[in-house]
Amino acid sequence: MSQVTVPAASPRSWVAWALAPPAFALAWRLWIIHAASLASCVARPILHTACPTCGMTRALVALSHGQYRASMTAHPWAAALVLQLVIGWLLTARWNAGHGPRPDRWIPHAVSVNAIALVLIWVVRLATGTLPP
Amino acid sequence: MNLSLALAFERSWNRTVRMLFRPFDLGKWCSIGFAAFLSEGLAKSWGGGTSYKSGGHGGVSPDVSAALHRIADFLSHPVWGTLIILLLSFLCVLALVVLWLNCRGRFVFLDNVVHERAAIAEPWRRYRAQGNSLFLFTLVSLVVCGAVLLFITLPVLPAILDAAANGRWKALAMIAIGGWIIALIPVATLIACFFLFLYQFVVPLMFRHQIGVRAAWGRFLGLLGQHPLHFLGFALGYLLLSVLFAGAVVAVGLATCCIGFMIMGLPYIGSVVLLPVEVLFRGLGPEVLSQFGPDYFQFGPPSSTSAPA
Repeated sequence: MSQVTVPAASPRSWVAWALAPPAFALAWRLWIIHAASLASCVARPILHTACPTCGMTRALVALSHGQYRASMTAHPWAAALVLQLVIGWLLTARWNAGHGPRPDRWIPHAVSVNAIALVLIWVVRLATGTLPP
Repeated sequence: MNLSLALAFERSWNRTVRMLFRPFDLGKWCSIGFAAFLSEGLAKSWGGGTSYKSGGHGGVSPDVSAALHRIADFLSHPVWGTLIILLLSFLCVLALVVLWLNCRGRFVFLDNVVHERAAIAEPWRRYRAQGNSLFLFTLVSLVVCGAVLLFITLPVLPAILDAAANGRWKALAMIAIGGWIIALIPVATLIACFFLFLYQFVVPLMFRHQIGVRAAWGRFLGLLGQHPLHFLGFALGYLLLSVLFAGAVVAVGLATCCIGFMIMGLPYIGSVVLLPVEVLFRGLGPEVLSQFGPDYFQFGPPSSTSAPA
């Protein structure tokens, strides 16, 4: 991984950085509205079991209400996802200020790690019978 | 001439990895993703939309003739009829604009893939003549293909409509539909091969030599005449890769509670997410052409002047 550092970022980068949380909040709000209209997971009737991300929306909703235990029960990886987003946002601020490595260089690694983690959690929950109904 | 489709795939794969992941640059992805959206995503989001609506009405045969009468009454209304005609005219103009953007975008995206760079404005200006030539050719081709499909469909349409409206002659309608499908398969295959060759070989030849679409077709047909089996193999390989890719997309979509389907289906965002696949597929045709020698295609840095004719 190349560790590229640059001088302080342009105002445009800071505006994009500042707009990221409200954009995520809006996307989340739209997703919640859309998810409420969904009857059930499409994968369930095909696979006859819950998919690796089943329960994620419920877990994130619980997390947004401060219900950590309920969130872990619905999907244990939800908290880790939120933590990664927060860390990414903070690292971007650091990069914008002219310090540290470019945070976007980590995106392919983050996607791979999350995919592996989701599959592993799914296998464990399938084996222990703790997948959401 | 020893051509290898596996070599073309390997080189295109290596280019995709080098271009997009060494190193990973989100800004570059967004820029090339926009070119991919203009080239591939725009056409898909305009014409490739999938409808999940059910057409059934609890097993009751729809009254087609009554429905046609209602539509005719609705269109003859002075206000609604005018509005519908205005809306259809607007949609036609919009479709033409989308097609024009798509044709110019094909050269922008090809430029990005060939030169492994993220550029929009410069290739957009440079390939203006080729984009316009491709636009006119594609428009005429679409009209001709539509007319051919209509020509095949029209003879069986009365039998199907009558069977749907009255419930009579169902066996005859089934035979008509069967014959229609048998006639449609070879025609649809020919049309698919025509557009595959147009975008994978003719467009790169236009790009390489900065020539019009007819001159590029002339060059390509010369090659096709000499090596028909190679290009048939390419079409089959492309089909196989497309099926594998579609399977992977379905697997990812199902594994993510359909969130993956929604993200991949979003205009522009979907093009950015699927960029490695778009770059891989875009590079296949030029890689095959480059095996015929630099006179057909050559990868390398962009030249400041026109490429040799």
